[in-house]
Amino acid sequence: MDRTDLAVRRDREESPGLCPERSIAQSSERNLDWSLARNPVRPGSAGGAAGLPDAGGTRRASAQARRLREETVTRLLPWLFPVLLFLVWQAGSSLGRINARVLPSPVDVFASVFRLSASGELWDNLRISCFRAGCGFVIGGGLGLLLGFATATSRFLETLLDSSLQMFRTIPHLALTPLVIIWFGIGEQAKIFLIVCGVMFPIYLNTFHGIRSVDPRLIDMGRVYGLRRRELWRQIILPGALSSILVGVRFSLGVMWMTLIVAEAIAASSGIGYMASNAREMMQTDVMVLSILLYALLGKLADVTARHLERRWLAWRPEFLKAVA
Amino acid sequence: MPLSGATDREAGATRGRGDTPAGVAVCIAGLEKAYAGRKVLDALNFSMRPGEFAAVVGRSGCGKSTLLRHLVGLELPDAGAVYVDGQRRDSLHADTRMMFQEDRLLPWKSVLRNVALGLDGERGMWAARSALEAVGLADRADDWPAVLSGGQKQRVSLARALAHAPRFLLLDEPMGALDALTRLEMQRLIERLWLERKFTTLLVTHDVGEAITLADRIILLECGRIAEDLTVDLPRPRRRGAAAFGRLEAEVLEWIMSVHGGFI
Repeated sequence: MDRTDLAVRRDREESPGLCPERSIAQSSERNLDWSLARNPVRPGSAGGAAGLPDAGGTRRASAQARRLREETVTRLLPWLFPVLLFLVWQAGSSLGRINARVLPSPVDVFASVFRLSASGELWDNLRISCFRAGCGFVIGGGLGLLLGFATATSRFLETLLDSSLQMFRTIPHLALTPLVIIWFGIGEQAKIFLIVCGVMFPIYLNTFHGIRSVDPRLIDMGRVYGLRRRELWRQIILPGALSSILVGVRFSLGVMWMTLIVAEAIAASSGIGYMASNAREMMQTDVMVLSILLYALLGKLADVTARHLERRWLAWRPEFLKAVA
Repeated sequence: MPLSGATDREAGATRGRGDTPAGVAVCIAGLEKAYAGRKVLDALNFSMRPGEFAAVVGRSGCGKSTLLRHLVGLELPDAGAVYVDGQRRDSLHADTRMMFQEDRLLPWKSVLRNVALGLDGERGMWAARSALEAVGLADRADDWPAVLSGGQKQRVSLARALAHAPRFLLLDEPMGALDALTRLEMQRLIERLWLERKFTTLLVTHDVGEAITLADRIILLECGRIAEDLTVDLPRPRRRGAAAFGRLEAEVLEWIMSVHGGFI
């Protein structure tokens, strides 16, 4: 293989007619704007080079404008469908096609936002819901992470715990709700307990998987380069497992809201879920719709946060590098 | 000390000029290793002078990589021992560094932080920077490894080894995955750095030409034993076109083929 390559190289060296020209053409391409280089301008012919930069400048400006336009479109496009939906919805309500008792108009829903936030009801419920979600997520996520680390690093702990954890994982945690009410009543513990159950397993599974799939050759390399156990963890194993852990985090954020809604609807005297189930009994459809929209908003917020963390912590991944470039 | 204004190259060679020699003396005595009953290293004996550049040549599965893993301390032998400067070596050691066939860069660290792996603080960063400079990639220090070409990645991994100022450098087919031209560049780079710094070097390779270009000595490994041990006595830099080079290459290939003759 080497020999053929060398032979090819020698061939090129022996035909000086072709090579220098090509290299000049290439370097001129690099120096001038691409739009200029397309025209066969001879290097050294000052006339052609002097005449064109103006045209190149305009073209560059128009290319810039086009890029800006494209950027604006990509930024606005995701909003198109929600906005359209709202317009159709409002139009349907205004024209009387949609019965307000079945589905209130967007304007009515916004009115309920003002009504509820003026009385403070909205903010109190929002605050308590977020508090429950946060507590459950931190405790459940922490437990999942810890268990994942433990079983991924120790064969003994894996044998001891993994099969039991896999069994618990298959239980739909919402099925525990009636039992949990009996155990904890309808206090905060019941909701937080349910969220912990829901959040723990996605994070546990992905942490375990992430650590186990760290390339053992990188660990060998780290050892050769003098990393001790702690440093191996900090510099190789954790960063290697991070993308998988973040997948678990995103998944469990979804589970977190879902669990909270169900738990609050069944067993609570405050929170957005309570607000929604209370509204159902009072036939306040506007508040019911508002609660649903709030769930969508909170879920989206959690997802955006998780994505932001991914972009920040996994900036080295080729897909994010491409996005930056 | 490193901030006193010494240039990179001087700093890299400091060891060579001090009282301790740049390279270590290595002695491999009766090294044996078996996996699942199959002997991979079979009572292997040889020694290397300080600063010597030896190449181990042989077909895949003849125990080359296993030998390196024992020398670097990633594995312990079933019998026999490795002595470095007269001391028995049975664990990883700061004076021995290894370059792998794959670059094994950490994708989540910048090029500079990859090179500084295992080094501490300001001095470590400084050593990493000068090692990157030595392989000609100082301007890529802040890039992610993912944007480098295969040859550049391998140069970064060479810099990572150099930053530790090793006295014993093990090269496990580091050029095996590179294209022919990049490989020639890499060979020249390794030769130049070795001539400057004179660390004891053991190169494992499939490529007989590469072994002759770089090594003082070629060891032909066959079924975990040394089949031949030949001194390469050609002036440097060695060029593949030279007649003596070609004769030697033919000779070594002849050995390999004669050892394996039965299969063909």
